[in-house]
Amino acid sequence: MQVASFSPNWQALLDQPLISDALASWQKAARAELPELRFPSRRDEAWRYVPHRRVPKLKPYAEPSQVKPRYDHPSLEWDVYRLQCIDGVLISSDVIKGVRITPLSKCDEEQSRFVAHELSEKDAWIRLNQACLTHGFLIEVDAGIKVEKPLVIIDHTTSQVAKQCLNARYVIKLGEDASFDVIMHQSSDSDVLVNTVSVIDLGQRARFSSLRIQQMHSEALCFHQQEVIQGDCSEAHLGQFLLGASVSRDAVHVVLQGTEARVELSGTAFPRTGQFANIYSHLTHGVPHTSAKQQYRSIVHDKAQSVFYGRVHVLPNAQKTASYQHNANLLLGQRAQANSKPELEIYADDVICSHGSTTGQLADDQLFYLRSRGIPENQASALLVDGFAGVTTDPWKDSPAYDFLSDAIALRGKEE
Amino acid sequence: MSSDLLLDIKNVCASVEEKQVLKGLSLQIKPGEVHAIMGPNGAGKSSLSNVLAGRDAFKVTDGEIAYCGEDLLELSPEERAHKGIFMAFQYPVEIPGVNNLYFMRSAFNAKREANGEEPMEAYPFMMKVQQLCGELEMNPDFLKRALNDGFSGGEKKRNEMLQMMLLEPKLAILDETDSGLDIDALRVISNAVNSLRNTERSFLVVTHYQRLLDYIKPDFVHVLANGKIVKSGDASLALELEEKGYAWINEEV
Ligand SMILES: Nc1ncnc2c1ncn2[C@@H]1O[C@H](COP(=O)(O)OP(=O)(O)OP(=O)(O)O)[C@@H](O)[C@H]1O
Ligand SMILES: [Mg+2]
Repeated sequence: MQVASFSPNWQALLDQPLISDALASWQKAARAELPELRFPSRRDEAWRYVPHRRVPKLKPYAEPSQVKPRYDHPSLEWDVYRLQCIDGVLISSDVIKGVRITPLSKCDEEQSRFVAHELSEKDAWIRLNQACLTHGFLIEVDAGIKVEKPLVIIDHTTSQVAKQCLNARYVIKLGEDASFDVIMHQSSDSDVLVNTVSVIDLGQRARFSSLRIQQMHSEALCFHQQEVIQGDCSEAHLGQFLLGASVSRDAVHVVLQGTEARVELSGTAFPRTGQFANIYSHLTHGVPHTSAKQQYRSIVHDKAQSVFYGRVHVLPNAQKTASYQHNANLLLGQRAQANSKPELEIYADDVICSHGSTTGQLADDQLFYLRSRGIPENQASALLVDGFAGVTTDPWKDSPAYDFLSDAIALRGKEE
Repeated sequence: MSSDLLLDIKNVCASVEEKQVLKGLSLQIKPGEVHAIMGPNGAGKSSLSNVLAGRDAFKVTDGEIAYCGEDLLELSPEERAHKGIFMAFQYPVEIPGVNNLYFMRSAFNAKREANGEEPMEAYPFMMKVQQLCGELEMNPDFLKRALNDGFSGGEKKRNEMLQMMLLEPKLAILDETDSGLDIDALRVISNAVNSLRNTERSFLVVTHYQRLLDYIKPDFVHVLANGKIVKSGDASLALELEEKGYAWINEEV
């Protein structure tokens, strides 16, 4: 399927203003390529189960003349820095010492070269993002800077941009020994399609965490593809929580290219009735002595579908790799569906890699135990659902967003 | 049915997974009484406990059970708990991810709300549970852990007793709570049970060992074999069983 079949007026997409002069040639290259590109379909393993038929006609983005900040955002009560972006327009951004936050439209030539990073995964959605960028930032953390409070990135869309296709790009670069935490909250109150690309580049000994909470409108579509490149001795913690949208796919590709680099990933996909949520994780252990730990869960309401696709690649020279992956799925209805596809490709011999996957329903003996103590059935199952997601939220216990995240998961368990 | 009974089990037959586990069992318990049930492995003791607590898989096919004059079999497990039935599990269930303290408060407040009382706030509740931990000589750190998750056998049993003390049931069913307990724990738990004994509260204590009954003196001892009560007596019956085993009863019956 090509872009033309998605969108009868795709030409209008390609006629959107370019984001800046410095990025113009890069964007134009993608615009030239795009009309011929085939969008991923069920033939592509990595996108296999995504219900492509539900991808709507892509309507170009029109910047609203007026946008209002969110005064009700939960992070206003947290001790954090904030960056607010509403309907693709930057509203406000806190000043952080040692950190430069530059909107893509204001990036100079050198910064733009970095923004134009070519991801190792390539598909038409990434190309579309490049061709039709609507908003985004380059965030540079200077070497040695340890930012003590997390930055909350609020990326919210309102009904002003209903049905439009937004393409965002977040590029975060940490210098050597820098330390930085991001909480990315993506939400919408109407049926938009948001196609986001994130690129994270970690210098030697840098420490980074990103907690991503997706709470899009129940008719919205949300694609996110993230590439994390890790230098020597760097450490990353990545969280992906898919708590909204009709169709949602969150992909992360971690390239462990520095020795002793470590990454921990955790996340929960929680589609409600009729919804689809897909977590795709891809780790490349490129050099000796790197380690990874993945803990993913999905909780699937009746008539909903989740997909976990976890690829671990250990390259031939990457001896002493330690890579652990676990995925568990909880089905909350007879017609709930969970697909789990671990894929290990190991070309080095001295490695420790393990993976495991389970799928099941709420355990009768656990439910009975709680009920026998007087906890009503619906509350008992909500407790078990929260408990099930707990392994993925536990690593975020120290985050100011932890209570918000737990409550959001609990609420989703109760909603149906 | 005489109204001074707390529990009146009449001729109950029950099955699980097509297997008949109770075969015409009758038992009457008055408020304030302690009944001990002994019997060989597989006799149906846990089945009886599960039937009383309301586990779905155990289907009552015949007979009646009245609790406080009410038809027990009509009530859901949670309603039974609200009305004062508590079963300490022979094998307490591990529930990873669910915090022990949070679970206890949910259970405690669910019962209060069902009985028209205000829920208890987190802080006073914490104080209350910590005090009970003290009585059970239990490290309060267990409250921070996931419910029974990775607890040792004895720790699980203590955690069951903590819940019993907290929920102050009218009818406490202890299914082999003494199995797997060390000598000190046996004493501590017996003291806890004895401290709860009063003229209103009754206990149904399932055990294989006479030793527990040295601590918790029963008013009645029953032998459950092959799905029914085959012999009843006073505390001395337990001593006799300890000495002779169960074979002689089979011969007598
Ligand atoms: N879920 C089940 N499915 C099939 N059979 C069961 C089930 N639960 C119990 N049984 C069977 O029912 C019979 C009674 O079991 P029960 O657990 O009540 O025995 P018990 O008297 O408590 O034994 P023990 O002293 O070993 O605890 C046994 O033969 C047991 O195998
Ligand atoms: Mg038993």
